[in-house]
Amino acid sequence: MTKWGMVIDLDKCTGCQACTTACAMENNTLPGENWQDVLFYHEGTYPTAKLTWLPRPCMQCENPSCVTVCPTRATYKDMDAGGIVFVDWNKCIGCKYCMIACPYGVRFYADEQPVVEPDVRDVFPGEGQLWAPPYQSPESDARRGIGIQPKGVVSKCTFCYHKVSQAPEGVADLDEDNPETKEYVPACVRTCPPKARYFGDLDNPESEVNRLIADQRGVRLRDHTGNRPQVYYLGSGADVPAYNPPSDS
Amino acid sequence: MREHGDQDLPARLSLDAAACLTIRRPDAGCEACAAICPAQAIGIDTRAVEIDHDLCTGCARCVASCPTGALDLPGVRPSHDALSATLECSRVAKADRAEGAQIVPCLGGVSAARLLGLLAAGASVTLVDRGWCADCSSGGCAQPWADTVQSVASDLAHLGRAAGHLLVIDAPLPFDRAQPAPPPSRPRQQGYSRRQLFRRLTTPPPAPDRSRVTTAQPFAGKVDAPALLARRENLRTLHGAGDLPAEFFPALAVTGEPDLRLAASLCPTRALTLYEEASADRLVFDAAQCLDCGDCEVAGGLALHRRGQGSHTGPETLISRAMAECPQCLRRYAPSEGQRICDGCHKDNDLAAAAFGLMRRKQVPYGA
Repeated sequence: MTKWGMVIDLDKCTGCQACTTACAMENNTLPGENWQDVLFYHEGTYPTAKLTWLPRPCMQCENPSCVTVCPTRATYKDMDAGGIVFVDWNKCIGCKYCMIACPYGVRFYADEQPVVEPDVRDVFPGEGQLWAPPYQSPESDARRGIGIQPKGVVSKCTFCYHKVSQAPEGVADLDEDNPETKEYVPACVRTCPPKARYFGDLDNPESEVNRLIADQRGVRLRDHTGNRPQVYYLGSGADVPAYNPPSDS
Repeated sequence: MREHGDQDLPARLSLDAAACLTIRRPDAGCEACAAICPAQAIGIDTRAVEIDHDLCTGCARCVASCPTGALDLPGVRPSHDALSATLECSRVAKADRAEGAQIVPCLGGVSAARLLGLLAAGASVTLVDRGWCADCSSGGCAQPWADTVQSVASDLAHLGRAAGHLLVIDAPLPFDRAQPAPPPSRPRQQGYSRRQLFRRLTTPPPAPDRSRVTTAQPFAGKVDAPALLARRENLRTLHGAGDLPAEFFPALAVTGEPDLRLAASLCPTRALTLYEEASADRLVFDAAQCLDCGDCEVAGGLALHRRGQGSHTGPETLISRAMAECPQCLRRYAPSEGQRICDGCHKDNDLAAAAFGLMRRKQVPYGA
C-alpha cells in the first residue's frame, strides 16, 4: 500500500517562500492561512544572532494526535489515500481541539489567524464562503477538506491529494523532473527552486525518498510525541553564519 | 383611545424592542408579561412578542411584571406633582372614590419604578384595597400589587425611610358596587368560520423579523434596562447625598479566572461590559443593571450574590487583565509573567529550535 512521504533538505532550502505561495494558489487557502509556510527563527542576540528557517507542511503523522482528539471524527487518516490526514468539512464543528493537540501547529481556523491587511472578515462579510478568490481551483471535495474553506471549520494541508491521487498505481517517486509524473507532484514540491523537497512512497523500498532518508540520516520532528510524521528532514543544521567580529590584532 | 370609567385611558400598550429580553435575548426565556396577562393578549414567539391590542384591557399588569421595563402604557402614569398620591382602581365608582384619588386601571399594574418615582418626587403613596381583586378578571388574586409593594417597601426599609410613605389601606366595598370590568374591544374568538379557516390555511403566517440577528452574532443584542436605571436614580434621590448602599443591587464576586469575553456576552443587559484597551482587557460591572439571572456564572470564576456589601458608586472594574500585542504575529494575547510572544508563535519557535537542535547533533557515522 502506498504511504506518501516528503523529504525536505534544510541545507538546500533558501527560505524563499515559493512553496508557501504555490500552496496558497493551488489550494485557494484563505489570506493569512498558510497550510505550508516557512518559519523564520533566530537565536542569540546582536552581534552573534543566527537566523534559520524551517519549511513546515503538515507532517501527515502515522499516529496523528489531531485524529485522536477530534470529538466528531471529522479529521481522519485515510490509509487508502496514502496515509494522508484529512478534515471532513461536513463534520467539523470548529472546536479547535486538533489545533491544540497538533505538536506542529499546522491546522488553521480563520478566526485564529493574525489579521492580515485587509482583514478578510471585513472584506468578505456574511455567511458561508469566506472569500471569493480571483482564481478558483476546480477541485472541490468537502469530505477531504479540498476547495474553498467554509466558515467555522479547521483546514489543513492535504499533500495536494487532488494531484497525488491521479498518479499511476505503484509509482515509487513523484518527481517534478520526470515528465511522466510531474503533473502529480504536490505544488510545494513542484515549485521548489533549489529542489529541496522530494516526494515519494515510503512503503516502496526502491523509492528515492527512502534512499535519502537512509543515506542522509533523515529525522522526524518531535518524535518523542509518538506522532511519527511522514515528513523527514535532512541537513546538517546549516544557517546564516554568525557575524564574527574582526580581531584587533 | 377608549372611554373607560370617566377617565380617558389610552389603552395602547407599547413595547420597546431594544429593552425586551424575549426579542433581544430569546435564550433568557423570559415570559413574564405573557404569563401574567389576564386577557391572554400577549403571545411569545421566537424573538417576537405579539400584543393583540383588541384583546388588551389596559390593566398594565404586564408593565409591572416586566423585569427590564420594556412595556409601557402611557396613560397610567400617576402625576408627580401631588404631595400625596392615593391610587384607586378604575372599577371604583365615582361616588365611592377617596378624595383626590388618582385612577389607575389596576393596582397590580403600578410598577415598582412608578411607585419609587412617586416616592422620590416627595409624595407619600397610598393604595386603596377595595377587597374585590380576587373576583376581578384583571386581578385574579387577592393582592395583585403585593410583590411590587413588598419590593418597594424593602427598598424603603434599607434606606431607613419610614414605611408610612407607602401605605395600603383596607377599605372593602361589596363587589356588586364595582363598575363593570373593562371589556376587550373584541371578544376572544372561540373558533373559526369556514372562510376564516381557509384564509388561515392559505396565507402563510407573517415571519418575525430576524434580519438583524445572524448566527455569527447570536448574543449581539444587549438589552436596555430603563426600569433598573430608573430605580437607581430614584434610590439616589431618596437616599440623598453620599453613595448608595450596595445592598440594593446584586453583587458579583470573582472567585477564579473567568473567560471575560464569554462573561460579557452572556450578560443580557449592560451589567457586564468588556472594554478592550491597548494594554488591558477590563470587565466592568454595573450592579444596578444586573438582572440577577446568573448567566455570567457559566463563564466560570464568577459568583453572583443577591445583595452586595459596602457602597455602590456606579460601574466598577471587576477584572483587569493585561493584554499585549505579539511582536511576531501582531495578535492580541494575554501574556503570563515574562512572556514576550504569544503561545502560537512560541509553539512555532519551539518547533524550529527543536528541528535545528536535532540537525546540529553530532552525526553518528553511517553503519556505526
